[in-house]
Amino acid sequence: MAEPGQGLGGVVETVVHTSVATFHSNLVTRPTGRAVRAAIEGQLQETAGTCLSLLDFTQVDIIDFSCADEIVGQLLRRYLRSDRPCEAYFVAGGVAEHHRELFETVLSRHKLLLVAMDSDGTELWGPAPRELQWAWARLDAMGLVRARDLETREGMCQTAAAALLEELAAWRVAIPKEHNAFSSLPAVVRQRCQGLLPLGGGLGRVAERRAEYDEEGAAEGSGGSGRSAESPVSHPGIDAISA
Amino acid sequence: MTRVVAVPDTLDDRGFETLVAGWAEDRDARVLLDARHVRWVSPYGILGLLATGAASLGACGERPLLEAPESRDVASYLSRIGFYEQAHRIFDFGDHTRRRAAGDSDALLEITPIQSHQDVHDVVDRVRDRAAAILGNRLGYPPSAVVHFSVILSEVCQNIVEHAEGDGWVAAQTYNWRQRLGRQVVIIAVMDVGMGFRGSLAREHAQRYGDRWSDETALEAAFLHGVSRYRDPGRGQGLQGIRRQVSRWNGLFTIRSGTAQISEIPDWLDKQPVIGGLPDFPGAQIQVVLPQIIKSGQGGEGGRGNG
Repeated sequence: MAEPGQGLGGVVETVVHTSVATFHSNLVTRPTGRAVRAAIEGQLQETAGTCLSLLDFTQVDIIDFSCADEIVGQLLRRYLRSDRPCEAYFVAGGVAEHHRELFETVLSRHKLLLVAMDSDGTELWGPAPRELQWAWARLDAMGLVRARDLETREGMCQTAAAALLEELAAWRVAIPKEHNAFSSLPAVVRQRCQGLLPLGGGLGRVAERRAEYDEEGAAEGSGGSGRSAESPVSHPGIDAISA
Repeated sequence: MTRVVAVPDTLDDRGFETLVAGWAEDRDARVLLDARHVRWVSPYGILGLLATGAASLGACGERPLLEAPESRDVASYLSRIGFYEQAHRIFDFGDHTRRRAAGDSDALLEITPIQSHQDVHDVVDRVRDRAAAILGNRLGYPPSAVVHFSVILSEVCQNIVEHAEGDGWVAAQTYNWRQRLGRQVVIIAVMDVGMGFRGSLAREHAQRYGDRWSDETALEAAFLHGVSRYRDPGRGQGLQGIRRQVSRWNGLFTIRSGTAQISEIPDWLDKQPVIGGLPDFPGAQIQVVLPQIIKSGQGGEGGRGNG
């Protein structure tokens, strides 16, 4: 895989929910993809501090390789770099099953990882090695995890567990927290976007997992659970939720 | 002096090769393309006729002449699919040809010029409902197939805008390939007379291939390895994605460029995957053939013909 990004994001202060299909009904051609990406980046630049961007593909009928490359591939690459415009994490929501291979192709070409949420749950997409997939799955199941949790629960050397979690964070598919803890991106989405996500039946599982996450006793950074409030919508199809 | 080049009576992919061979004998002379005896055309053949005219215009600087098909069926079909609207921009010929009446085409996609990304959007928007009906009802494809079909259409059309640096066209039509395959097919044809794959990739990749650099190696690089004229790793995914999807549907995907042709070959066709030594022709000529899904106990039906 390519070199992961430098520097780690901190506490997520804002979740930006972008309904991608609002910009164009059919997401084809590179100029369309660039326009969508520019709109997403424009919204991110209006946020303060670390943010999580939920890219909602629920209403997307058609998306081609070129457009997906511009929206997902180029966006993730840009925010993986040390000179990224701001601290942002990305989650793809509501990607139709028949579009999944297209996304995987884009991620493989760029050697990128992306967290995906849909009505069936959450997954880590992209060419992640098996051990990284495993660590991410554990993190996703627990919501918030420390290296010693993996060590205790999985019989893994703490140093190795810490290295895996740090690698997930470096790929920006996990959020580093205080005291060597790491949060899963879906956990943040569930906590901040309850009632907003149009991701179908997945909300049931969202609630279930959120409870598990809260049982860990860790507040979600400065945000805390259940304190979400919608901010004014400044772009079509984009809702910003500030903590 | 005007040179007469006979257009084969069956103007499909094979007929196009015959046409190109005739034109290539003397590219610098003004030509008259004699299509009077054409009895059957495919989208690939029709676009090939336009492309040959455009290539001739580019090579000798004079508009070629066209003798239109005498067959009423073929002439009617050419009118309906919008051939003459495009041909009038390239050829000199008598104005006895019938312009298309609005809304009387049964083509999946009439001949559509591709010059910009907006044209690609328009094509994808326009073809969606018809494609859903044809793929689902006539070819037995699942509902999601229209999405993959649209992606194929989008990517092959973008190839013109992004790489050809020249005009191009797209057309699509369903046929009954009773003799050739025993079932219905959808044929998508996309052609341009631009710089071709070799020209597009030369600046970035020719040096690496050294003496081996040719139309064949350029096609192999793009088709098999996803190489693009751009260094960005995100480029070159489109053709790879088309190959995978067409292969899944047991379809045929061919690209001809310069003197070579490369194909993703289905199990129902006996064909060499790479063919070299063809008559040189500018740009790229792409054909996708998607066959009807045959369920057990179901056979092909109907006949082969235009109309």
